[in-house]
Amino acid sequence: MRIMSGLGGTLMSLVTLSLFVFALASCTIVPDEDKGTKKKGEIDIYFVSDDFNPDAFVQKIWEAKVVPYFNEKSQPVTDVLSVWAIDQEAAGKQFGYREKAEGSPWNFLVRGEGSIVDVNTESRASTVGVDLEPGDGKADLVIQIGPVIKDSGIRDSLEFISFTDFTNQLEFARLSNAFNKQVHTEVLSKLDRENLLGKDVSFIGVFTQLQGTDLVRVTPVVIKVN
Amino acid sequence: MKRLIAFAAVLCLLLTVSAAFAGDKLMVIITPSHDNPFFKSEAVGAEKKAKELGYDTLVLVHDDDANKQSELFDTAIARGAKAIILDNAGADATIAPMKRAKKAGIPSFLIDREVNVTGLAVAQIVSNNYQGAKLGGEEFVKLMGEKGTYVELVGRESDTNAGIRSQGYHDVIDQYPDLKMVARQSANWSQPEAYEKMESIIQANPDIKGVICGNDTMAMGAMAALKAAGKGNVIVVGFDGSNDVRDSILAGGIKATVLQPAYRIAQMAVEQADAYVKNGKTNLPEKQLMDCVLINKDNARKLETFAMQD
Repeated sequence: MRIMSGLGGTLMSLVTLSLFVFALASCTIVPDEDKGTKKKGEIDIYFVSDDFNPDAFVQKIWEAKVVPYFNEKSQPVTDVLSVWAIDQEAAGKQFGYREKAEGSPWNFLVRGEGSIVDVNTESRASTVGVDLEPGDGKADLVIQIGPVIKDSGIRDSLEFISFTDFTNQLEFARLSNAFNKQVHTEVLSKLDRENLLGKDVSFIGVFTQLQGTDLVRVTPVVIKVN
Repeated sequence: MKRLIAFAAVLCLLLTVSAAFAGDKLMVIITPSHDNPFFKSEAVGAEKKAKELGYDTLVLVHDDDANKQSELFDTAIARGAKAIILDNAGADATIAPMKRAKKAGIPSFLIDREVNVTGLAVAQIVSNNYQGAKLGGEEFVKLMGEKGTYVELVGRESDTNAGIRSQGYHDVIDQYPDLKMVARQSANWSQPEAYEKMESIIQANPDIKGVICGNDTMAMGAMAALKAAGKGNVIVVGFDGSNDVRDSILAGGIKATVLQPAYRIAQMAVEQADAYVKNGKTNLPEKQLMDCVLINKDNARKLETFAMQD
């Protein structure tokens, strides 16, 4: 088979080389042992290396670029939601950002004020429901307060961050997790989680267009509770 | 020589040759084996779009063999292809042949699997595997009732998609301390291999409650092994959105999967290749993520050949 598709003059060396490479390849030991007994964080994930330090990357740009970007670009959430409620695509075109069109959800940088009308801290992905001003007692959106923060909205709303600049999806996923971790350690861990209900809140953050969700889910970058 | 190559191709490399022997407007489409309907769907989608746009096509398979892929690149170069549409045979092993093609003036458009460099391919269009894996992981946690023992079947080690999906699953599942992983093995994306691995895992762990898999063919293999062992009620979740798994979901077998828009991704790659051939640019970023969709019994009926029907 190899002979027929090989090139005349270098035939033998090609065959030899390919056999050699093949032999090497077939000698590769695929880790097959049961790793289930290892603790969390000890699982080997293919292609994860220490060459990229996402936490350091995020810390370097957080105060210098990310927070100012949100301060500058965020829009009143009530303006966005009034269009969003009627037509998500129209809201996206008017207020949203995404790096490319097809197959990507819109991200909305928003700011707003309201009062906290419900608190869900049972799930590790904790949230508070916020009734925006002027209030009617019902939540208009939820804000994630961690420790587990879902979505990749922070990463995906930054115009100076592009997937093309990262080695692979693993790095890009770790980058998003590092942004969410930064929000938790720098912003959300300082909240008095037991005394949030009924408090006034102001925030700057991002929400992403998601499949089949009810209320928009804001990841805050700045949050103040009074 | 051309005939010889074609002869070798048909007989030895399990290729499909569907074009005249002119490199004039030739697009070469290279994927893993069509035994997995996911890759077949990519090839069909790409070929259809290429023909619509007036290209001749040469559809080849590398069977996840990097050496064979290298030879297929040489074929594409020898034939003077205008562009190569590629679902590659290894994130690192693919770099050298892509460099050869680029040197010969042939642009590569990657689908499904990325390589660990940028600036070599014109486009790398991949499913948002992390987003999809988190969807699948969250559904798995819900199905498991947040507790119980489970097994993970991982994909091929040379493929970044195996890593990223496992990462997504664990970033979700590891939040739940009552979910205990009792085995984690690679079945290399393969249905028969998943069947065999699952058989021995069941013997060692007869009480497992769930199996989460890096793709649908491994989910099919695991489900078959579980059924053969009288454990058809074990919760199995896959990834891809194949018609086989759709049918299993509707029949109450596999519980969920995650749809990758494979057919559309292949067509997008051809559209971008066409734009590049005509204008020398695509006006899009090289690396492009396409979001995935959770499939369960509520929406499985709408799934057909890696796309949702409205």
